[in-house]
Amino acid sequence: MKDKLLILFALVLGLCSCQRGESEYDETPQGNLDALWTIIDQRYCFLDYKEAELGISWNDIHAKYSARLNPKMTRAQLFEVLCQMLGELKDGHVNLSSSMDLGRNWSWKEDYPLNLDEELRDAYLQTDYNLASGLKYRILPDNIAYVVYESFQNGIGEGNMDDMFYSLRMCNGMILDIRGNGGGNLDNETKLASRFTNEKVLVGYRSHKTGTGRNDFSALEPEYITPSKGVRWQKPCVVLANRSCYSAANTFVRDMKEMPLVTIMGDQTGGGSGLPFSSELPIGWSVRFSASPSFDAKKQQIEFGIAPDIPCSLDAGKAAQGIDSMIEAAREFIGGQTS
Amino acid sequence: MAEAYGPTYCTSAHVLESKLSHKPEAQYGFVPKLIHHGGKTPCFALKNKEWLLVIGYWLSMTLIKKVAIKKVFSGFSSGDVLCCEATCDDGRACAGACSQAQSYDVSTDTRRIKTSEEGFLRFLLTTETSKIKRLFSLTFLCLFALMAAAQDYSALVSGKEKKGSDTPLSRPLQAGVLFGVGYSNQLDTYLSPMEYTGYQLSFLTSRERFTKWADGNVSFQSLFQGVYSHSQNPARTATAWGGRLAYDAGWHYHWRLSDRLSLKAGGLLGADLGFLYIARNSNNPAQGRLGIDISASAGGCYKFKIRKLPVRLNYQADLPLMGCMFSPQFGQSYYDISEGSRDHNVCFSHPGNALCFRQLLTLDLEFSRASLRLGYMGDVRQSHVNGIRMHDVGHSFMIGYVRYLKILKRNER
Repeated sequence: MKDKLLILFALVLGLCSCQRGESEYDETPQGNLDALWTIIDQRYCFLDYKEAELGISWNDIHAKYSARLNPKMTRAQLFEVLCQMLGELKDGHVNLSSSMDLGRNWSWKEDYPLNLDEELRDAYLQTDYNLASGLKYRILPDNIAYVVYESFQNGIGEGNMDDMFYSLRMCNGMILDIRGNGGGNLDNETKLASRFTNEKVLVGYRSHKTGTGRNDFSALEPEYITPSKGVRWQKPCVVLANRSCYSAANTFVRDMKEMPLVTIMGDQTGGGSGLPFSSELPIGWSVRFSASPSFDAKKQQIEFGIAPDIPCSLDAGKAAQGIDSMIEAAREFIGGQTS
Repeated sequence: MAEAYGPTYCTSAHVLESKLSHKPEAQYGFVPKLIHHGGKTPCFALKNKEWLLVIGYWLSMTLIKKVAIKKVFSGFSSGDVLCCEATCDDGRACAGACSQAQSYDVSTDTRRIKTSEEGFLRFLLTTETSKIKRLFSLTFLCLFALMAAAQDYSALVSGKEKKGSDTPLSRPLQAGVLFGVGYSNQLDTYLSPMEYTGYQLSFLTSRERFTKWADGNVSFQSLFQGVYSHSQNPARTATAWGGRLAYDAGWHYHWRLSDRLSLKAGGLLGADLGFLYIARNSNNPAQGRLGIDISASAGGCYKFKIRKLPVRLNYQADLPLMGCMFSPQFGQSYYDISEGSRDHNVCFSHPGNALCFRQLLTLDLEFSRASLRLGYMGDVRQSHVNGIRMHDVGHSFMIGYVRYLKILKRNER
């Protein structure tokens, strides 16, 4: 009886160790590359799309960059190799972060004209503009509201927007300038977009990965914007965008394209339609990657950006004269709408 | 008509019916007759369930009173003497569950025991409304429940205490509190593929009390556990904070193998709520944990002495057998969930996909007023659902105390 009790006791204590560990990769250069490659292979949501659009093969990339490793390379060298591997994806939401640097790919804006002169924009805003949380605004001489939202990281309150829209209610139209807005909080873009519709609007779709396979995705789930219960804008609105509009700003342009009385002017946005997740490598570096794709209302990919309704660019010659040709084009468009 | 029966009445409760309350209910001996026993033994010393039954009876009788009472009163007359059977004491009569009456036929000088059933039968035969019959059936059930309760009460008063009956000293409440510190190992592939290790602080409160079931061999236990963990990744470049609250309650059957050794086995129903948070992550910074489960539980207790100090060695192990738990889908964000996205977020858990185990080994050093409890708690939580692997392993040294409390009823306070 005593022996049986002892065996039972040992079995019971042994149950405490019945968990599976996760140390599958070594903290060696090859182990870190394998871990990074696997994270992207299993969790990145645009792998097949990027392979088709960019003509790359993620499987071949593993061999290509493994060849650049050697056991005696420094941490900085390893970081550079891994960043170059991630750069093949040309995704602004894919980053490798260490204590010494942030690996990034900003080709989605660096390879294109900026179409924004911040000093010129400040000249239009002047110094006595109104500041409602993250929104800067003033009324231009031709009775057109000019609103600048520099980053969706800056929060905006419902009360801020109520007061701003109410104070601009006598204007003929609005120019909403989000050039240079690199994104931020999706809640802020939804809040602002909801001020431009009087009814529930289908603005796009989203899905997520359901497994480690390249094609393991959920069904597309529709995304709607419901009208705000606060003050809503009922007059023409022009959204000025450029290649620097990324992530939440890209999603904002997607939403505003479905709103009545809203026109998108400027350059194609930078893209960035994937909701990024984080993971890490055995060496302790953090990796960010797109995990959940979104689509426009026609179920089309917007990872590489959204084309404007009316293309226009910043004229360097006029800029030298202190004229922002994109703002002027927007004013002219609104004038034509209201005349 | 005269009938000859041997009297079986209690002299102490031998009172003329005419002296009793003349409410119709009283004719059936259904109500406590305090006034006729001088309040010697408080007849309102009924248990909680009996009071509910009395109230239920009164409500049902009130409902039928206006319609049926005039029609149904039959069976007992004012000349009948109400008496009680069996134990013949004041308390028994006072419980109001008398179901017999002794009638005296003057013409023949004989007494007859009449039962309430006769009255009931006459009532059921004469009444015309089925609704009243149903209501009275309910009353009948209440009556027998009261009779059963009264028998318990009488046994208690007579000193014939049943085994496992509810007295303060026979069923003490064992209340323990433990605080622990130990090692934590956490993994959640939704947040990171790395194991985070560090320390954890925990507490565990336990309540256990024997019930009256199965001759007092069944106990009810409740456990409330809280854990806070602080851990880091292997490279020590990121920190995770975790927390968990768990509540389990259930019953165990005890086998007393000897004076020293007893074993127990049973089941627990549990719920737990927790989180794990890694600050540097972007749109997946935290994972929430929510689940309920049914566990098999077993353990034992061995008593011995160290010199003259009584010592109790306790062991209990809990193994969840089935339940359900919350989990996001493999790549689903909490932002999507907050926007109304749903994708297999409630999962059935079983040892095949969520093998969990908790064990507690403690040593109670029993002093006069309380026991010092020292012990070890090992807690393994694992799951592999929706492509997400998770484990939360903790090993803690626990220290605390145990007290044995008695619960006083209202009349004992």
